[in-house]
Amino acid sequence: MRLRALGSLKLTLPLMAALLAAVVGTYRFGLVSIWWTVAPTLLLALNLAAAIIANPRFRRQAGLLVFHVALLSLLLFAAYGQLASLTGRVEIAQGQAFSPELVMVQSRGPWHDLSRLEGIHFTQGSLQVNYAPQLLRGGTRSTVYRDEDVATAVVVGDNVPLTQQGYRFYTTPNKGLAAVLVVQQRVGGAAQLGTVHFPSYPLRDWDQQVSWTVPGGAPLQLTLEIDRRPDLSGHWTLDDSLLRGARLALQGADGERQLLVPGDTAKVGEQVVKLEALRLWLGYEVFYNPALSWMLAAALVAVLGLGWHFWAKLWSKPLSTEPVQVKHRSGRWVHT
Amino acid sequence: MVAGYTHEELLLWAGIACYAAATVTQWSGALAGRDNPRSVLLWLSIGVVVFALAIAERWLRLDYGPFLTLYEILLSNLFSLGLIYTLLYRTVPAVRPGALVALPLLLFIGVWITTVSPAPSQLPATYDNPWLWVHVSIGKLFLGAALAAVGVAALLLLRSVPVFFRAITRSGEETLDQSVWRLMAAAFVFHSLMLIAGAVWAQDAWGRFWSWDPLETWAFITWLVLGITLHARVTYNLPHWLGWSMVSVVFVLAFLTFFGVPFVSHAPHKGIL
Ligand code: HEM
Repeated sequence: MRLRALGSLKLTLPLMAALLAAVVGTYRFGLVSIWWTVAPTLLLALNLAAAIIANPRFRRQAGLLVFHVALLSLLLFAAYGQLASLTGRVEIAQGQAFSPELVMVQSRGPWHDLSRLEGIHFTQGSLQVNYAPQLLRGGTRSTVYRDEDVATAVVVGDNVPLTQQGYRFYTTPNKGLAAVLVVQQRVGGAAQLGTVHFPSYPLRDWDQQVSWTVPGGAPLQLTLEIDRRPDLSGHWTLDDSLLRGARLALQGADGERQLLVPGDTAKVGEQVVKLEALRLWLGYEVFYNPALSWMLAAALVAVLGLGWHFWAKLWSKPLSTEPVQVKHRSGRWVHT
Repeated sequence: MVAGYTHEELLLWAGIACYAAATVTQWSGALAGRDNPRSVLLWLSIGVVVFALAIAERWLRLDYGPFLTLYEILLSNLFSLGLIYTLLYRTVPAVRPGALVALPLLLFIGVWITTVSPAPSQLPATYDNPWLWVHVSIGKLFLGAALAAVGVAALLLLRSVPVFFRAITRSGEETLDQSVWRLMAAAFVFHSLMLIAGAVWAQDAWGRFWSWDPLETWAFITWLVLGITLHARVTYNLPHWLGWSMVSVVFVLAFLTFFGVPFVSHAPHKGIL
């Protein structure tokens, strides 16, 4: 009896209306807490589960039952997917291997085990992005090697993510130039390799500089001087030809400037800084959701169930064609 | 080119003229009490073919389909809504009286497009995806079914207008009401499929299947209101006028979602930079 009350259709409509109000409220009026939408959804799920068990109408209409069970499953899969999901970003320079520390986590479900990322191995290869006039971005081609082995190259970009261990890496518009630097604490001492990423290119074409502190040393201003600037008013391709002839300027607090091309070294205080190479870096969106295929399957089954239901209830029957006699009396509608 | 007009413009105006002729034929028939569905069908069919030619001409010239700008979306819907409506008009006699409302709505899109810039854009790389086709085609089926439904529903709602009243009398209220709900059921199935295909595409293109961007939010609102409408009808003994009004609300929401939201928001849905 209680189950029947919980599964009452009279509850469904107000709950759906509450969900609608929550979605509109979140969108238009910026309700911040996600509970405004989660609470009515949870209540709808309860209402639906109770109805599926207790409402005899579902037993009489198989298509309708399939639709609503699939809808409930979709909610459950979506919830599980959220709890187990990970979204994040990672920026990787050409020649650099992926490592879990590079991932900037944006959202992580409580059931997601970050150590899973250790199973991922790839190295960034070459990158090409096509542009039309006015910086309209065309296709992106990013070559990626598994296990640093050139024979395992795959090309990803746009609609094709790199997939490993259930993680998907999507190329993004975020990309730019990078300087690979080797720092020696003193001449002949141990060397430390690092990569400095400059601001996104071509978005911040005019601003190719970053502040950087030499490990264990002084703060520096790094500026990239690019000779082969693309003509942004035409069609062009962003790739590593942009880096040909480019130089790196190091400027210390005292205003002294040193210009390096790859292979050059500069002395900065006690340390020696070598410009190993100039490269491109690419930003990826990292996405993990183990429920993705299950959600898709549930959604498709739901639509099939719905089609079945409407076929049985509505579409398979001829429209009644009785010419109803009606009279128009002062704007009112009367059957005779 | 004729007197400074491009082929596309000439075809556009010709298509609009055909839809206008269909509208006038439908209305004059209703006013005279003598329906002339064959002439209406003929004008509609010619209009659909002419709009198909306009799209083909533009597509060949620009090398991308009508998917991006407001002008392109309006043009592509003049074709697709016209085609779906023509097929329904031909095969389901019960939707015909609704043409008194549905055809002016179609014509409204035709007038609107003449005020919109036809300047081309560039297709983002993520649009090179088969799911775009699935998503867009099913969306068109949804809107076509909703247009046919709202035509009949609005007619039923506005029956105090004598010409509508006579049109209803000839077909029978019961038949018309049933056709509204059959079309709305189909619209719900298509809308659900459109959301699914859109989510698959979004996952490929932007690395997320759903992110409540303005277009997704509005599409979800339309779907939910349609679900509420179908539910309300089977749960409560809704007065007819309320059911038909809810159908009209669904159509207005869908119309705003298709032709308003993508062009007032700079959502990532466009995917350029
Ligand atoms: C959450 C709790 C829900 C419950 C308890 C529930 C229950 C029911 C029941 C019992 C029916 C059959 C009515 C009848 O034919 O007599 C029905 C029909 C239907 N429901 Fe639901 N439902 C729920 C959620 C939803 C949702 C979220 C949607 C989609 C927005 C939905 C869409 C439909 C549709 C389209 C029909 C068919 C209406 C028709 O036959 O015209 N339901 N529901």
